[in-house]
Amino acid sequence: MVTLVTSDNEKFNAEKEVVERSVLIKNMLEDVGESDQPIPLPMFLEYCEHHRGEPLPAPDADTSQDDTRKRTTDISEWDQKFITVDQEMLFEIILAANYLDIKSLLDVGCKTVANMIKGKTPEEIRKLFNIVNDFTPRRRCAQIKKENEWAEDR
Amino acid sequence: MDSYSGSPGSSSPIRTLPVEVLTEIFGYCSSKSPSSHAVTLTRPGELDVPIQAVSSTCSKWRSIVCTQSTFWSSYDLNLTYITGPKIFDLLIMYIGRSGTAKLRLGIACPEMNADQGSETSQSSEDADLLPTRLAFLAVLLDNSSRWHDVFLDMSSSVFAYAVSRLELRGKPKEDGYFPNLEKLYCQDQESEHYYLDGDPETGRSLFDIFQPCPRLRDLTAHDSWVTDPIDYSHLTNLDLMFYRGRSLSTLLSRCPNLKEFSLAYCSIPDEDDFDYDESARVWSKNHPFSHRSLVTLILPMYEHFGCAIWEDLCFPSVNTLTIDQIGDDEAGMAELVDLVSRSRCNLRTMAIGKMPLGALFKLLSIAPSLERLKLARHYTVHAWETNPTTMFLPLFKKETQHLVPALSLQIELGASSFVDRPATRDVPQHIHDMVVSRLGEVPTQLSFVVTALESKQTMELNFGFLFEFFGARFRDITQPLPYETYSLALTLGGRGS
Repeated sequence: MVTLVTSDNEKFNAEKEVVERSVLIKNMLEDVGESDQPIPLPMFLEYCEHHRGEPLPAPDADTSQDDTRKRTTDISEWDQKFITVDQEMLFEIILAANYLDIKSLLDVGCKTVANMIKGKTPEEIRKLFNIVNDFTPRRRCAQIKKENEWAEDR
Repeated sequence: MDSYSGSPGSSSPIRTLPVEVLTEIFGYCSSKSPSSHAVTLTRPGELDVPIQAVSSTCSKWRSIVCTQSTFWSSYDLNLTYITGPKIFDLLIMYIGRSGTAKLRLGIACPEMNADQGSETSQSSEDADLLPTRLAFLAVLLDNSSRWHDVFLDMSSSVFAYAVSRLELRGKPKEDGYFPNLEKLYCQDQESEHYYLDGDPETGRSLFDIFQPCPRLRDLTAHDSWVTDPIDYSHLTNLDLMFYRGRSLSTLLSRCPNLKEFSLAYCSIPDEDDFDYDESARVWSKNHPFSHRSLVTLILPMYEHFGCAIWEDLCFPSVNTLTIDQIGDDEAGMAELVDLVSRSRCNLRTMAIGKMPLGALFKLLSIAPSLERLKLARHYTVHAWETNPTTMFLPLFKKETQHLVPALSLQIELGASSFVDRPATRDVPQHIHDMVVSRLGEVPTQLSFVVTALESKQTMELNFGFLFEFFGARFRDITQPLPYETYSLALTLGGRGS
């Protein structure tokens, strides 16, 4: 068993097999070895528990540009339910998955944000994520306009 | 970690994401679907660039998008839809952003008369735009070393222009004009030989240009002549519409690593009109070429065979045979049966479409260890135009039982329904009789595949009916929903389970 400690000092016990879905934790456990020292980590036990036993991606897997391009944004039903949270939590999950090197969870988070972006106009995207349009009028007039005015060729 | 502290407002939680994560997210937004391209021009003047919405959101996102070369490395373009200089300029800019990334290209370029000096029947507007369109093709050709996965559909005159443009560079280096090309699809690019009535001296075959391609793995071409300089030792997939030669041994011996071979038609060219030396054949009926790598043989239109094209070949490793359609050509069928027998291959999987009953029996007789059978609706048969109970009835008969052991069965229903037609309502009963009553100890897979694009309602009716009919008998039911095809996969337990 491994003891995980959240940032607000709550402790959780979990099986090694479950938490080792995080490459970071796996490496940490290997470095630390057998120890009673608790490891401070946010809660991702539910996700790791659900995906226990599934093969972990190879370290160098899926890095070619071709594979990247062809990946779908489909998300399994359970993952979709798991990731249905408010934006703040969603980005926290993504950040933690990135930090903990949990590739499958990072993918789920990234696909979720991508699905939120897809099909929207720049203005709709800004509104959705509360992003400030910081293009200077001059720049907006030049490059952006150029990329959007091809329609005049029609 | 390269922390992102860009322009989103201070209350925006997305600002916390690092650049590498945003890049990952934007990667999913760079095309509409995994199979579509980042930049498409498939309607006149309508350039579609999904990632542009992201790059126009804020300056930081724009910086990330514009500097990620892979976001700009995929194009599906009909060059005749370049309707003005602005689209041309944008395409040039996008190609520039692709940097040194490998390119995935779909290039459609129908007849637009590349001979700029001649009179054409095209509109003056098209004539004015011709240099612009060819100039963009030239840019793509100048980047041929980055071509990675390419679909080509060019008219003969545009192809001739492309060849001349490539040859301007002089003789290519050892690895040819396309050193990184792994996948090439040019089924609509007919051989120049075909156009030139068999005069190989004046025309340029596709294979003159795409040779050598040291990394080519997957090739789909319209036609190949026995004299084509094919030497694709890396090729694993070859799909030809036509082969023109007396035997396939000449072609296949040059592709020793081929795993999958598909051929729709073959014909023997007229030796008087073609430099075709029959004595050059190395292999013979008594000394056949044994292709040990080939696993899958696909014959979409087998009725046009029957010219002894298999006689000096054998495929000992073939375990999968797909035949979409067989005519009444008994000679061709006999040759295929001979090929399988001579090869001593063990057919485990067969996918069959429209064929006479005799042909179906013959196919089953050469596959005693069949494990998976896919009954496919041939693309020329619409909405159960051929009654499936007639088409597949032999499979349900008692005398066929020894030929068809308990197996995995997949039935393609297409967009048709057997729910609303009395003649086809018996199909589930036949399927039941065939599969369920023959169950062995090993769990059997039964799946139904429906192309849902035409009628989702039909699909739902079919699935509903099947579920009602089989539901209680199946141990596991899954319903994956990929893009264009819906399938209902069922796992049946062994007898008594």
